[in-house]
Amino acid sequence: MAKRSVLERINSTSLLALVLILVNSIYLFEAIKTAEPIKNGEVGITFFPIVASILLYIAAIIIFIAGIKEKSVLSFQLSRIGKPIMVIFLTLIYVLIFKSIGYFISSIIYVLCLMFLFEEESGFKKKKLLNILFTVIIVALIYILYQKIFGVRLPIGEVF
Amino acid sequence: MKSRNIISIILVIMFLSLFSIASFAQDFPTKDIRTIVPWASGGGTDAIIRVISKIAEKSIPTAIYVENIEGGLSGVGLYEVMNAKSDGYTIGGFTYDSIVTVPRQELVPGYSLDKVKMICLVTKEAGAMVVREDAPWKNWEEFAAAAKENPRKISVGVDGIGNAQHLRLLKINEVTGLEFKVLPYPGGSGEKKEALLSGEADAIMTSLGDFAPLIHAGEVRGLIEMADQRNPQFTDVPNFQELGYEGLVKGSFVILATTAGTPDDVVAKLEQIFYDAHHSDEFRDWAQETGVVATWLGTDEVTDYAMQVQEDEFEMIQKLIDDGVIEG
Amino acid sequence: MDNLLGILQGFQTLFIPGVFIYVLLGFIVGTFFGAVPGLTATLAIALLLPVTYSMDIVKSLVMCMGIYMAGMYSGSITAITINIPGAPSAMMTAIEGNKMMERGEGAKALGQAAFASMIGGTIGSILLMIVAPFAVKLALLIKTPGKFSLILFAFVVVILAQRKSIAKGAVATILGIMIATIGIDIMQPAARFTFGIDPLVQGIDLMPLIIGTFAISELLIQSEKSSDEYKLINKEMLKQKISRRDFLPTIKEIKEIGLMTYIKGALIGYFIGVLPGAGGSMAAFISYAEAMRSSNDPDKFGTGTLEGIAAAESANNAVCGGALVPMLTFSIPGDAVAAVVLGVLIINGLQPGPRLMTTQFHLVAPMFAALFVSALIILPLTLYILGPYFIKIVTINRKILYSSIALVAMVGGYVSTYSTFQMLMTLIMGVIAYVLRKQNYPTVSLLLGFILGPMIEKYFRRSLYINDGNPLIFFTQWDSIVFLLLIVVFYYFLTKRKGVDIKEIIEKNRS
Repeated sequence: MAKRSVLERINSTSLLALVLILVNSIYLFEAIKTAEPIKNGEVGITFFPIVASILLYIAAIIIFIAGIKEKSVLSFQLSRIGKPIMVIFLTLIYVLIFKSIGYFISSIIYVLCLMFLFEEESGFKKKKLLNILFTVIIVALIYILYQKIFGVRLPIGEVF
Repeated sequence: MKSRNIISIILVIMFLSLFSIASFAQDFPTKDIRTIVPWASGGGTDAIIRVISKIAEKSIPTAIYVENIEGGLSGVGLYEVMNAKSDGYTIGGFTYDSIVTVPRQELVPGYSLDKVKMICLVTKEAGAMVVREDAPWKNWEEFAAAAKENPRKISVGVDGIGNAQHLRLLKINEVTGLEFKVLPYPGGSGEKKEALLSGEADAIMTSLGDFAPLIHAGEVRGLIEMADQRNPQFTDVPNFQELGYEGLVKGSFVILATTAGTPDDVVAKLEQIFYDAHHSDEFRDWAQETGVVATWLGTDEVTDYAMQVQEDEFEMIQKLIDDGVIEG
Repeated sequence: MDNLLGILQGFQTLFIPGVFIYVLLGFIVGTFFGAVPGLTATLAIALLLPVTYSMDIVKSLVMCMGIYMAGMYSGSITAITINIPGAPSAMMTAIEGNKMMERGEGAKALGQAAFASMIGGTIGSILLMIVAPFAVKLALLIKTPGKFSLILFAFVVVILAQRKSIAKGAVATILGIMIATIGIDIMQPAARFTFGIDPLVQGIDLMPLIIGTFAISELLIQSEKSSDEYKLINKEMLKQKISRRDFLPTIKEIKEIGLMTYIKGALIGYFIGVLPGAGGSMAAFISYAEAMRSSNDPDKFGTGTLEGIAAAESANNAVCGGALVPMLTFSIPGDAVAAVVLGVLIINGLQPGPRLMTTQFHLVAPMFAALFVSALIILPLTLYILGPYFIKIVTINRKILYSSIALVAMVGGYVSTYSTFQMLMTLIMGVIAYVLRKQNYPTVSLLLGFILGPMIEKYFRRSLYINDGNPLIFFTQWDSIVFLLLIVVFYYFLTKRKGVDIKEIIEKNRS
């Protein structure tokens, strides 16, 4: 077997470990910027986070080394992560519009889109009406639970 | 064509809503009033605001509902009040931290007391120090004598370093010349009770109301209160004023406030609603039962009171920083 | 003797139909809130706070007890069936139970969870009735340094329990601790780790973390699967026809698990409940780890064992009885639910404390009775009646199931904080958990790190205040030494025993 360079050996395990090390460095930098860990003999607000950060470096480096010793190489299956990314994107939109356009419209859009995403490959068109019906029922049930039973106010939308 | 229609509808709605605020204030309230408690549900401030708003609700045609929005030492929830519509339908409960700590430390960006209109003060609780019933000190004099002999040895629990009760303790130090070991218990009054009963802390900075069940049960004794008159529910606890110490009248409170810019007659209506609730037997009885001290300051006085507290505390904190007692 | 009579009268009050209906109602509400991701028992009682003001206090309290017991138990239902624990206390149950579900043993797993919950809940409420004053004295012996060492013990066990991947367990735990440090410092009014983003000063709430790690990450993992894959897995899960009898644990199973597992679980849960702070998730975890420690075959944990379910579920339900002890005796809540129940008492003009326990025992006794009856009778009955329907959750059309879960979870995130910022955090935590799960990092450790991180920091810093900055305090206080010794014992059992030494674990980690 030809010897591979470290760069070639990067796989998903070691890549995530590298990301963790990077995030950890940002965290540590923020800690050092905020305050001294120990001042006048007193433990300050960043002492404990800095200890945690150092421990995370150690653990992440162990994983990184274990990762580059693995035989697998970096590979992406775009087909696998396509849908999760869509779900993340949809949820993000939902959060952003939730308060401004209100619970009802935003939730109906959100649930309908999720239904579409989770639908069997060809089924959506066939059951369009059924899907809309289920969406309205789910959204209404949650509304009744909160607003009617528990008296919690869900946003009705700022534009109305 | 279509978009112009939408714009005109929006304009009409805006106009109508302005109109309804401006001239129908005598009908206030026509919809439910949102009350924000910036602390966890189940806590002391939460109970006070929930009870008074439940009673107040009976005198109006709509509901008053409570939402608990925690975070930023009350700053996060109250920030919502500051940014609500100026129509009096959003109210928040302000405590010591909301008036002093949050603005002073600039914990929540955009937070400013200029953005609220205070309605009334409903409760006031003097700071106090309590010890276990079986503690070797029977009264303040004995406690002070022991502290003088052993500076920094007797431990006193406070809520957090640089928080209200710690500042009160530092003020006591300054006036009396005593020094204590400070232990922080930021987890609410439960944690402090635990510390006192387990013997970890020798004394606790608190309010007598918070420790009422344990005082009544004979587990804990009120040592001294930071007030100028005796607490009607704990008449055997002396205060600093009567022992001849100056400047040791300090405590916390619950102030109700709405968004700045709310029309005066709406604020007056809100004041009236809460005045009636506050002076009802139901509220008084409840306060008596649970050790809460019901006090009333109306719209005319409450803002001056709060600003005075803020000024005094800022001045004191600055002095402590200058003296190197605490950090900025 | 007086107390015994009082408790009997409590049972008498409870069985008045007009009162009993509230326990049942509470149990149903609690089962729903506990099982649905994004809703918790704490939220249920908090939402009921305004209602209790206009209700009879005894009815409010027995209802709260129904919610409490049901909420602790029912997280296991969704944990087992769809791998989304409805509450953090059920996360260990998810690890074991969902594996069984995949093998088509869902009924067995649900039955064991209910049985263990029944035992734990019953023992917990009996202990609440008879040894409360003694238990609270014992709890007061553990002071700040002892609590530090207890949480440290929990952390070491959390990490070591990931037998196959200690480094990943450590990373997940520390990440949880770090996420919890965002916001205002626990002891001083100063912001930290806001990275220049203003809203981060409010920190990240527990709800977004729970919903994100459990519900959103599972939603993302499910969205990867094509519907054919999903159908195939489901077929496997439901290959046998399920009758109600399948839910009853057999004598043989119980013997294999060992009565001691249940009793130990209940005692651990009760005591962790009495100790103010951690609550259900820590109890379930420590009991699980103890079962693993004393097991003849620790390697089977994590592959779908009844033993793991029994240990975790008996412990988390015993917490109910325990957490009420300091709340009722000294008005010090033992966990989050007890804290809200304390609010119910105060709003109704009652002061929990020694006086309440003597002069107003007639108000408290029905509460004890309600907790006991909820655990012993209502809980197993619920499973017996509804069990077959619980299993059928997975037969619900996939798009409807997961889009409803997503909606309930996100709206739950909003309702618990009334903030869309925390909703956004829910999503972000979900994405982080998803990435970690894809790489086999344990998300349970992430959550425990988040829950216990602020506590250990608080106890650590306060211990230093107590001892004038000298860290030797952890080695001079006996309450601390006890837990430090426990760390050594668990370290030995979880790593060195039966040839499973640390080197081998590191080797395994690499492969």
